[in-house]
Amino acid sequence: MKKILLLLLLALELSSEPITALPQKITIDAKKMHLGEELFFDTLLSRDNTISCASCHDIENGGDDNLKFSFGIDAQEGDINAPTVLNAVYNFRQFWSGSAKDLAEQAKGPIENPIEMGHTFEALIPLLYKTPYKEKFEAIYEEGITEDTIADAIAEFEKTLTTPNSPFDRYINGEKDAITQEQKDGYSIFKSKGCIACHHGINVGGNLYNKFGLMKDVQSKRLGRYEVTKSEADKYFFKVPTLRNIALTAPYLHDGRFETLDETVKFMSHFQLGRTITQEEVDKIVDFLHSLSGKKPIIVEK
Amino acid sequence: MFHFDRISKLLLFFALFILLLFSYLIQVNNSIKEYDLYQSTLTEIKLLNKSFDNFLLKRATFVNYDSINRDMLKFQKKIDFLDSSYSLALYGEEYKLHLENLKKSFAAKENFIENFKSNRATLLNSIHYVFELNQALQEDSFQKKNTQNIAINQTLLLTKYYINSYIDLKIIENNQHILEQIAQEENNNSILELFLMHTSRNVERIRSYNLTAKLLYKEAYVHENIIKIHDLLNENYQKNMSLQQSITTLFFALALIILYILYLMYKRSLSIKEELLGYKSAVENSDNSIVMTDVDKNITYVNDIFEKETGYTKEELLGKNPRILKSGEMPQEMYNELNAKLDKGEKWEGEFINMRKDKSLYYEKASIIPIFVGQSIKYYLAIKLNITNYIEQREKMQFLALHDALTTLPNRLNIEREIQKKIEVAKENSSMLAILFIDLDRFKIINDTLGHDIGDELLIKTAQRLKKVLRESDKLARLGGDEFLILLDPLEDRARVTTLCESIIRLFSEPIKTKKHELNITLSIGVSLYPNDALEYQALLKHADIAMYQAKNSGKNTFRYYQKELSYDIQDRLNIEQAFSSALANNQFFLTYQPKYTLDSREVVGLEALVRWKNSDLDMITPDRFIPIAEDTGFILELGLFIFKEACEAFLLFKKESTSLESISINISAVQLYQENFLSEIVAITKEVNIAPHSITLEITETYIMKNIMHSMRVLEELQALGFSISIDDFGTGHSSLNYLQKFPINELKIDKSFIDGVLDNPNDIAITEVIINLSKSLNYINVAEGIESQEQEDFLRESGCALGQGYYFCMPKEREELLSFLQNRAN
Repeated sequence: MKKILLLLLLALELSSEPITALPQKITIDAKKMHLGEELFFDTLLSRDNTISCASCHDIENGGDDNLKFSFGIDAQEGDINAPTVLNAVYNFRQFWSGSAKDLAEQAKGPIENPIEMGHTFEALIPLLYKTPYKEKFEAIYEEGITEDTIADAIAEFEKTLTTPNSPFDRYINGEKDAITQEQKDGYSIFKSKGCIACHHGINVGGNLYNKFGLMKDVQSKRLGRYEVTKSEADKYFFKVPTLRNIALTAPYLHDGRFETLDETVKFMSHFQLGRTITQEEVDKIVDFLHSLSGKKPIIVEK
Repeated sequence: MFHFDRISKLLLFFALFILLLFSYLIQVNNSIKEYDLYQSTLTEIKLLNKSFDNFLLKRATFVNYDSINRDMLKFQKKIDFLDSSYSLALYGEEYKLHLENLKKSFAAKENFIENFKSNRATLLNSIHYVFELNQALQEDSFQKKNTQNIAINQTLLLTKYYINSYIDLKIIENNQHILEQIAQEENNNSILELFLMHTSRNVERIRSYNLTAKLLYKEAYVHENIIKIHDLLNENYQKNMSLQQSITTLFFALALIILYILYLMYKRSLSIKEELLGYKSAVENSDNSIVMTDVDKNITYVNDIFEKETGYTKEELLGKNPRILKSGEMPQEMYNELNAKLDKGEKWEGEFINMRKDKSLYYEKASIIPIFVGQSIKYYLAIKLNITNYIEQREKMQFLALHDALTTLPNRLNIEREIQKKIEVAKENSSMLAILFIDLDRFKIINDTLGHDIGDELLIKTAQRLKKVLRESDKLARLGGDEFLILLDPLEDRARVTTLCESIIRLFSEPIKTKKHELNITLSIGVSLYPNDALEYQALLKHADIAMYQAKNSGKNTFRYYQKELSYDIQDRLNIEQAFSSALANNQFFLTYQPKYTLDSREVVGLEALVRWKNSDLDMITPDRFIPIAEDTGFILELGLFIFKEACEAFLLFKKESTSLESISINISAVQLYQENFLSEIVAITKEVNIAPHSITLEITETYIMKNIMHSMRVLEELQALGFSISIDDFGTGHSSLNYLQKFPINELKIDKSFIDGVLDNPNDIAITEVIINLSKSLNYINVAEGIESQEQEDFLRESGCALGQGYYFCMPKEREELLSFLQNRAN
């Protein structure tokens, strides 16, 4: 009797799916988008004209660079794994630490990061004014080229970088055969094991912070949100990453410590959930995770 | 340059004020409109905040964080909206402060929510796993019953603890402790170990979460801050509403004031309009010409009279300078003075002689006024009255004051001044002057008998005739009536006066022709000389007058120089003239009667009525003195009728006493015979008295008949036809032509006394008397000898064949009562 009461009380079963499909359409400003696209692929944004946004965010291959850490100008290696740019618009914050509230704020970061593009807007803007960007900006923005307009244009472009129509999306949209039975089983295990508690919503993650190493110490160099808030309680709290296109964005975790999903799922089960998990269960979850890879963005298909 | 009057300034001020109010009102109104937007925003974030709180209570159910993230993003955007510079400007510092607090509290809440999200995900998962582990323990037959019971109890407590029900943490700790001991004892009970790990972690996590939640929640007073902003906006709104109301009231009051002012202005403009219409019609219909020019003296307005007066039309005048009317008759100085006055802004008044379009001149009395608008002259207004008639009248009056209207000669006043002036000059030069006082002889008779028209015509002709003989330097004047005066200046010698008088008299020997008549006019002239006769005008004039009377007394148609001794006679005559009018009324005139008798039988057959005048001042005045004067003055007409009536009445009385009495003889003056209604008047008397005309003999002097034969013949014929007998008085004294005499209707001849006086000793008189007697017999006239004073005379005349006689010898003229007794005596 007590058990039944408890189960009812903790209604974990959901009336609707905890994961929602990506929308088919997104409203953007075409002019800004084109300008942003140009900027996104332009190495002019880096101090030595070697790096563009696309250098670390390969749109064609999962929106990241598939490296443990990215390389900035002068071949400097970073200390954090590059998150995918794909579907980034649906993240509630940007960066692993969540230090940027939206895409535009995020876009400014790498340009002035000394080990990434290593530039300053102060130096960059006069340079851009000497190029055809001058007319392009002035045609769109009254204020011309500024830190904000550059970021705004790039953000506008990045909004288009979504990957709808993944097999899983099609499945939850009613296409029963869009995924395999293993994948369906994997989704079921994903929910029952509690992965869904953090990885849910439109981006299968990306809508909360949580502690890295909930059950056991995981030995992280980076301190996550603490780096932003300097609050002791925020230590090792990172933005929960999206699992969309996760099959394409190895290596995994903020420090790229695992090369495979198998390792990563096991790690998460053990360290984050404090649960035992069978190999079969892991395999099914990995199968399920593969169903989250969607269509490449339209821009890439062009 | 704009010039505003007082009202315009006031209205402009009002307009500005209203504009100001209006813009302020718009601002207030905007703030009120914004209020709704801000209030709804506040309501939204209040609701969002509620949903956050709601979310924070949902510990037990799975929640897709996307929705809470969306809400937080929404909340952030609403705050951004509230944080716009526009709203900060609208609501001020206090708002800004509250908003900052709200932002701070929201940041705290956000932090709290993130914390909750993480913890919730972890705990929910973990508790869920605790359930599973508990399940596994219950299903594991190797587990002790005690372990299973405590596990159930622990799971329940953990869940209660998580969902915030009250529990005693000590029981959980105790359970935990027992289970840990069991796990130690049992070694390698992996399910129990996992259960313990999760439960202990969860308890720890819940405790720490509850602690931080308390801490964090302290700062997250989002709702309170929203309420503060809400209240502030409300307060602001109420203020604005009442402000709006005040402004609206002010608007209304202002509108009323403006309306009232406009009403006053309207009233004023109405009365001004009426006044102007009145002025306009006054101007249009004025008898004055009115012309208005602009400051450059170009005509901008003329009224109808102006057109009429000048002969120009409005079209011809507008835009022209009024100098087109200039006649050139006025001196340039006048125009200079006019312009100088106007330039000074003063009014000018004066007279113009202007020229019409047809070149005719006219006089105008004008006043020209500069009209100021503000400080400067804008127009000139001229009001002009045509005074041509007045000027002409004035000149005529001036002329008439000094001239005689009839003859246009200078009048008495004029000549008086002239003479006085000349006397002054003569005094200086020791020179001479002569004054000729001229009077028409018997003019009164002509005037009375032929009428005033003829008299006037005669006077005009006389004046014309007199002018002919005068020199340029001589002055002729009419003093009044038939009196003229000539001033000779300078007078070289007396001979000229004589020559002039003679030539004047000669000039009038020819008859004057009037329209109907040819009149024989003679003049009597009196002359006085300066300085010989007098030194002053009045004396000179009087002396000339006296000399004139002297000329009249000398038989008229002549002239006389003034002589001092003449003065007295003239005075006598003047006294008689003046006494006439009262004499008749006072019965001072009376009649005496002298019988006319047959020489052979000495029977009284007739009576001659003779007038007498007994005046208290003058004593008895003899008829030979007053009759000529009466004739000259025309008094004879009145007197004649009195005599006629008196005589007729008396005759009827006498007739009763004497059977032989046949007729009464009444003397008729030539003046009477010339009067037109003489006949009708005496006929009327005969009818009144009831006497037959054949009983009346009218005695007329021979000189009258001879003087105007045609006229006298006609009159005498008419008298005879009426039955009157005609007797020629004083026969023999005139120069009667016998040829004429026989043509006259005569019944009787009276031989003049002068002949009878000499019948006894003067052969001439004897001869004349005998001729008259014989002539009378042959012409079948009755003979009457007058003035028989002796037996011898009577005898001579009887023997000569004279039928009737009259005289003192037989009977003196007697008054009525005396004669009545005389007649009675004789009858007896």
